[in-house]
Amino acid sequence: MPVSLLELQRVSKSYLSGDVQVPVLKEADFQILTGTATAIVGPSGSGKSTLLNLLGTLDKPDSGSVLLSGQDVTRLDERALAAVRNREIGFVFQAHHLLPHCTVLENVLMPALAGGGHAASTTVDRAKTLLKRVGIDHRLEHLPGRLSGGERQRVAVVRALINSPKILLADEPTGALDRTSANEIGTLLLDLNREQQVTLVVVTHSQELASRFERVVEVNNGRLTEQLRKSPTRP
Amino acid sequence: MNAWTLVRRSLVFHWRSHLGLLLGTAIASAVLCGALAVGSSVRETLLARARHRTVGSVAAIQQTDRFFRQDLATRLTGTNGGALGEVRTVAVLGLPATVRRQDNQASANRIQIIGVRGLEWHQYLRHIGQADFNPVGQQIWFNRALAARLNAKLGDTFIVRIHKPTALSQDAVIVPRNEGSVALRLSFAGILNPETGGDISFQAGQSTALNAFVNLDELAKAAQLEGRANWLLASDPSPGRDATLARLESQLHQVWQLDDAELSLRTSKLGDPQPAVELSSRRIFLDREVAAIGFRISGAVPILTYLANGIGTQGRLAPYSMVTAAGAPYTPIDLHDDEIVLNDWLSTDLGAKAGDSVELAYYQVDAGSQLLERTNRFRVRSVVPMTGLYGDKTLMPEFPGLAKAESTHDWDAGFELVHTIRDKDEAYWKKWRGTPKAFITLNAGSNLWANRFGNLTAIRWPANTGSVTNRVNEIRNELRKQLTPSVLGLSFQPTGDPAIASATGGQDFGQLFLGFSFFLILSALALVSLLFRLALINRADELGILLATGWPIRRLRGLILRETLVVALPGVVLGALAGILYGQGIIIALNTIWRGAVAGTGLEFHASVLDLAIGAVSSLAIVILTVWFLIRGAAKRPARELLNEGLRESLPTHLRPLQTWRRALPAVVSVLGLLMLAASFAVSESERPGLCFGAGFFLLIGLLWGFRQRMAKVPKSEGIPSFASLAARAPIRNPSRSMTTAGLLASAAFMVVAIGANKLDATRNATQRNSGTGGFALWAESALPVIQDLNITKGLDFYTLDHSKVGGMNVVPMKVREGDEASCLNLNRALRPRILGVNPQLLAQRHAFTLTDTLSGEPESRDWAKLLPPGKAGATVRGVVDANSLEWSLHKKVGDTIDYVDESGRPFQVLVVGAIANSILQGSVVIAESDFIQRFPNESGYRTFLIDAPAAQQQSIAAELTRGLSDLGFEALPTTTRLAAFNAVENTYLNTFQILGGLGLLLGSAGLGIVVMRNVAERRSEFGVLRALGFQLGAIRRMVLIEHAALLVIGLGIGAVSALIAVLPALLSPGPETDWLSLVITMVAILICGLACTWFGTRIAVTGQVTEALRGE
Repeated sequence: MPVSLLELQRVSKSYLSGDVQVPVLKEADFQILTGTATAIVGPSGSGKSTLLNLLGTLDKPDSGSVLLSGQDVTRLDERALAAVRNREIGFVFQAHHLLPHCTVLENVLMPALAGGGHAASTTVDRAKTLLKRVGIDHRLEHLPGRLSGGERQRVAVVRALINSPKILLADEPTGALDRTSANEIGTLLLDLNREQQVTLVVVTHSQELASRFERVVEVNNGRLTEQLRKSPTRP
Repeated sequence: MNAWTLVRRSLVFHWRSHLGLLLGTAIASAVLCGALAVGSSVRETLLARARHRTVGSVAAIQQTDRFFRQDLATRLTGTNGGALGEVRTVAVLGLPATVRRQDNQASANRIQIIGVRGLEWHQYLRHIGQADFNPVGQQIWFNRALAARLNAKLGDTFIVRIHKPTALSQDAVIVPRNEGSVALRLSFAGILNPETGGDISFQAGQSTALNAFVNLDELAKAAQLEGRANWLLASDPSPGRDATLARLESQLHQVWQLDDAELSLRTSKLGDPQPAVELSSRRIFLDREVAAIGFRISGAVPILTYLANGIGTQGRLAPYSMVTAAGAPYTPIDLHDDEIVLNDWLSTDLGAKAGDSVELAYYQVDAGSQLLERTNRFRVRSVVPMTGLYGDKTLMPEFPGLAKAESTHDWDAGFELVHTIRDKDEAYWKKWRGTPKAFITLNAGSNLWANRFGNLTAIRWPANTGSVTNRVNEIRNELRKQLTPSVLGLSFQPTGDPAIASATGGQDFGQLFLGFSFFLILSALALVSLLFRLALINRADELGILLATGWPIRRLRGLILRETLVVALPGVVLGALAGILYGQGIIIALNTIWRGAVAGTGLEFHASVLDLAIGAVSSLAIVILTVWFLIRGAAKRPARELLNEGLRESLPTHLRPLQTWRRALPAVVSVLGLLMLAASFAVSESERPGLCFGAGFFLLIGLLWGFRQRMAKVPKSEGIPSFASLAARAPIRNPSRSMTTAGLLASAAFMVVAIGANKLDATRNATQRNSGTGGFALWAESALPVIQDLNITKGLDFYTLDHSKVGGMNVVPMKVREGDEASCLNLNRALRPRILGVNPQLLAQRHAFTLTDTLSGEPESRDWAKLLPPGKAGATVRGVVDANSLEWSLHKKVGDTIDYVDESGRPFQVLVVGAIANSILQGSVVIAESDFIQRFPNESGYRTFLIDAPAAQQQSIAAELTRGLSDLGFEALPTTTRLAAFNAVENTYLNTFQILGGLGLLLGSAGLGIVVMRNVAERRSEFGVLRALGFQLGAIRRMVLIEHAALLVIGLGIGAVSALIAVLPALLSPGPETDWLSLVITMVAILICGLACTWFGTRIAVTGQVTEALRGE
């Protein structure tokens, strides 16, 4: 039976826009269960990314709690949070943000180097396996500059999974891609959700992508509204 | 709206980047203008000194040991109806002297005391300047430098000891030893300003001479030179100095008299009653040229009369007798060279008669205090009565110390009278004075007494009774007609033009400081380039839009250049103004903390509009060129690319297939450097530094180029990647920026190591013979010549030196002919450096100094004795010069010649056959003593000394010598002190270079900080992702630090390795060891400075929230 992996409890968050305090979330409650795939949608500026950042411990709420596996991460200091992100959370962004001077393999191994020192050989093996899984194992020694947009994003996905996180958070992962590549990335994320048993949360503008998720949450005016889906669309 | 509107808007909008451009331009302009102003300041100061030194003269007669009549000056201008036009002349008497306060509170050795008459001085100066200057009676005036040295106040009393020239050189045997100097007690009456001739000197040097002025007649009287002078200055306000010199020479030919050459014609006799005319010299011996010409005048009877120590036979000895060597009528025509004619007094005294054999003992004439006695055997040909020809007291020359002695007891012959003077000898002297007791042939006499001063003491010509005066005039005219006054030292030498040439021909400080400021200028331009490049990156969209809307590329470039010009123009003007301050700052530094570089010369600031204009225009051109080069590449990009990708450097995507030859270029350049290094071992040592520096420079370029190419390559994962290895690879992200950073640091390291390795320490290995001290402990100089040998007991006793205090001392004496100071202590160009005459064997035995280069280049030729063999008369003289003096002061090299004029006005050349490594002999040309004596026979004694002394006794020896020889103005100082004074110049240059380079490094560091911040700013979102991936802020900072530290280490490494190659000659030279510790400390300091800048930049840039960074994407 699925258990709660991530949970927002009465979380409020606002930010300053000029001199005006703009509320993004108002005492929001939200729960993500283990192994599920959730899409977060909403109009521009509605607070989707803010929500994702709160979930990913990249940001702290003004009030309320964020529980990861039952632990309130808002009470952790920056060092502990970095460790949590490194071990338990994977991120994929709209821009791939691969290091241009590092090869594909090295980019994937980057999270494993967060503590300094060398990457373990088991991690290297896992990187190669994952890269094979996403179909770019023939590009291990290539620099990001030689990859297509879709390929770069696939490398970014593998990078997010290298430390076997419990949850994969993706912020507009297909936003900068053409339609075909966007489809491929969407499929990949959902497949990995199933295969790797990794909980998936994706922020997207794309209704097409959102429609493929079993759970869709809309952010609007600081409120979260659940859109229950009977059967997600599969390509 | 037009293009200017765009420019105006852009200036306002991009004010930050334009401010950077303006500041960078201003710095470049300030440095250029300031350096040029420094050059002008040094040049103008030296020119002013040169004008003061020559007292406005265009030419001068300058004699050191000959004295013409004072009225020669008026004869020149007053005769021949104004043939010299506006030329003014003045005769003065200048002698070396020492001076001390009566209260002994201050003293100065090696001063010039100058006798002038106030009225004549003012007339010569055309009544410009101090009207009150008129030294009379017991007054003494000083120039400013000497007054300051002596802390002179009006009315103070000073004791001046002057060198009293003797008729014969002090190196002659018969010369009074105790009359070389005379002391005067004088009262200080005022200061003679530089503008009024206070700083008069004939030697090119920026350090002011120490001059004292007294009344001409008083000085001449004290020096027993009444009516005589030895300097004659000629000034001419009209243009055409060459013509003036020619007119002066021509006029001199017309008005000179025999007495100006210390020659005199008098009536005499050739026996009774034959009247005669006699030519003699105040200098005892007739110059060879005079003798040769006189000999050609019909009827000439050449005469050589000199002293025999003793004439004896069979146990009898007649001491100290004059002997005349002459032909008929004094000796029979058929007298052989081994025959002698005795007067009857001597014949009686010795009991010798015709056919007997006698021995004649004599001192070699010019052996000075060494007293080399030789003996010749003669057979008595005949005995003559002491009447007529043989009773002539006037045959004996006016030997100083003898001629005026009433009794033999009053003789001051200059040597110890070892033979007993009997009563009959005393009686002879009283009755017959110096009447010769014996006569030999002129040839025999020449063999005995010919010397460097001459072969004859007189020439007599028979004259008819009643027409002697006519004969005198006849011979005088004939001598004047045939003699050239220049061979008697009467010759005008140009003074004004050589002084100006000397002042302007030395080291160009403008270029020097441009060189010193090179790194600063380079850094400013690198900063301009960096800031402008970053500004262009920011403005890529703007450029793309303008191109997309149809702006032609040329117009776009023009727009940006116009912007640049609008910013750079005020930048260069601001810079020019700042340059004045920068230049003034350097001049102040050169007058204070860097005074070692200019040997304490007080420099006055002088910046011309031309300097500022050249500096400003040059810097503007450089900045415009730099900007043009940058925008040329940017504007080439298509609009689409500019709009989509901007101007960030394209990151490497694959191995660029560089053509092999291009890939090989860095290696080729590096190999070229290494080949130059190898070649440097095959060339002479003087050429080696240049080749090695070239090798180092090529290696620097090659390695940096190689590094640049390396950055263009895709890295390959090697094994399991690490955090540090990935970070260290980051420089390839922005190869140009990385290259700028590494290049700046490499240049800085190159400079630091190259300079550090060349710094000199006089105290290192100072006791070793091959060092710059030659292993000698003391260097000594005296104002007046030291005649006695300081290596023997007799010499020490003569100067009342305490044997116990000078024990263990060994002296290498050197003769001195004054000339231009050719060491680095003189900013002027030395034209005729001081000459030192040394016995080369004394240096060869000690293997003293290191000869870095010789004419043949062979190592075995590096032997003083082989380098300086005794030369032949008339031939080129071989000389050895300190390598630094040769290169920097004389601008010559081994194999070149230096032009001189000998004591008789004859030109000769010194061929430079060897160069000595940085030594205490800087500033002079060293020649063999035998050559020196041939060229300057009247430079008596020794005035410079290299002294070996046990370490423990150095101080006591120096103190005792200074005490004992104080009357001669003797000063001894440790050789390390002298060498350190020379080294201070070079070390100060190096310090200056380092300090200005350090300013450049500061700019470079600022650039590095900007690069770091810019790099970080561009990667904020990337760092945001890393933080999202679990990297902590500290780790990211560490990563950035490692990235830039890699650049630092690479840059420093390339620079250091290249510099070590460049300074290999200095490292391998036997001179002082390199101070590695300081070098390492400096390099580490640069590394720390660079890391600090990086850390600071990282701290500023790597901050903020992750979400903000990610939002930035």
